[in-house]
Amino acid sequence: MEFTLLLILVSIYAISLFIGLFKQEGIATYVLYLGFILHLAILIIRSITAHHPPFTNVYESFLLLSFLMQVKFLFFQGTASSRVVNLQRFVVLIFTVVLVILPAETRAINAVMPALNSPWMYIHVPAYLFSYVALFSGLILAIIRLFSRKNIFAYDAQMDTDISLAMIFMSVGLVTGAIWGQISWGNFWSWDPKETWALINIIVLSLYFHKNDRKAQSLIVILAALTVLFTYFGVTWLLSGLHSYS
Amino acid sequence: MVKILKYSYWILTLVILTMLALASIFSPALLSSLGYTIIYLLYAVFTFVSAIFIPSFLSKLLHILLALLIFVVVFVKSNNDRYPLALGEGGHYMLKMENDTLNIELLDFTITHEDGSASAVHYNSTILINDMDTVSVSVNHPFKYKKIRLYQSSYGNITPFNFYFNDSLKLFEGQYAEMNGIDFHFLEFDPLLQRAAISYNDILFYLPVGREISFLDAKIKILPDTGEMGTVLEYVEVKGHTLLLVIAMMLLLTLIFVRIRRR
Repeated sequence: MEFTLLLILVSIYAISLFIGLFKQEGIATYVLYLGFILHLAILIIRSITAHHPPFTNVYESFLLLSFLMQVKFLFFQGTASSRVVNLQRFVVLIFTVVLVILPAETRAINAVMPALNSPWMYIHVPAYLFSYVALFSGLILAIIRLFSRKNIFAYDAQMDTDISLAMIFMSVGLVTGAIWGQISWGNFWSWDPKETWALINIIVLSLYFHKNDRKAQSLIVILAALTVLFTYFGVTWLLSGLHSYS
Repeated sequence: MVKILKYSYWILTLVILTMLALASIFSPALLSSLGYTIIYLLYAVFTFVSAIFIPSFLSKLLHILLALLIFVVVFVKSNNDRYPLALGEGGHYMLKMENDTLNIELLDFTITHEDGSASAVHYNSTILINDMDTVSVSVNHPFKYKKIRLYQSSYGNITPFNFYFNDSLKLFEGQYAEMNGIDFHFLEFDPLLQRAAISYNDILFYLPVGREISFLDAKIKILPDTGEMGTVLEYVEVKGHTLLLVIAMMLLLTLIFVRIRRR
């Protein structure tokens, strides 16, 4: 049932993007709202069925991440050009396609590990999700910025805000994770692969504030997004460690 | 001078990123090595100094936070003593501290499984402290005593060993015991060589399984018992938290100082 709903969701997002590409903005937005409601329904069904919030494994967190991105693009975005809007729709579509092609066992509902039964999970994980939402929002602007020939760019301030937010939430995620690690494992830091790559992410992202050149900043954002994607998928499946479930 | 600092910061950042990425994939043990630790500290210092040159107060604060986090990681990792304690029900440990000892006994170990699933959703060790207080240790809920912490680490099938003197004494790896008035520490069992590593007054000796050997005026023998489900706690002796707080305060005061001078 959930998989069928996911396929419908992908189709709706794809239709919305397709209509948007033909400049039918009004219809595209209505279709997108329909997809948004379905996305929310999938999350609610998942939470009720699993008896826990939808961020205890890769599949659930990616489902929530793509939803939060949609929330940001639909409700917290100022006026944006159709190029930006279409790219945003494309990114959310790709994220939902990834959900469909993830191995079936990742969608299985499992019991929450004892280590995750902590109030810190409700700060640590959402902080990282908010950070990734801001980062991927900044990534879209960075990609457009990188290929723009104009020197004055309308979204520079927006990109600064997004990356600052990403950095703030990433710092909150890293610090709360360290505190949680101390409570749960007696260690602020274990050099677990996920922790190491979380540090790599924040170091890469911090470089953004050391450059004034917009092209260089855009490249840094793209690099940061790639390292985040590796942390999300590469580390989870290629490098085992304390965070192997996430 | 500022330019040199900036270039050095960029080079150091690229070096640390490459080192972290390669080590996490190919050799995770390197991440806590001395060479890496020096690079982390150097990077933390440069991050802290670089924060001064960033105009935005928020970014400045985040950089200082990052520097502080690296200090914490390096400091805590290098200072805390830790080792696992595997215990079956009824098993004892005597934890030796400076001017103090802590006797612990596992009274009960319970695992809760989700209906129809093999994975544990909760596991809990009930331990008796110094034959007086009963405390509960579970994941996210450690036992704290002065600088000592006992964390619920994992569980599994663990093998106790019977040490034969006049009577038999059941010991798990890592346990201390008093035998014939002598304090022993059963460090670990080597399954390959089939021998137990034991320390007595900081002197290490090995005791092969099944063979009777003479030690001081006693003859001792060790035989593995049948495995039983037991708990694995992690013993941690926390050191240097006060120093960490001092470092944190110094960093914050420097930040405030820089802020006031700018104004």
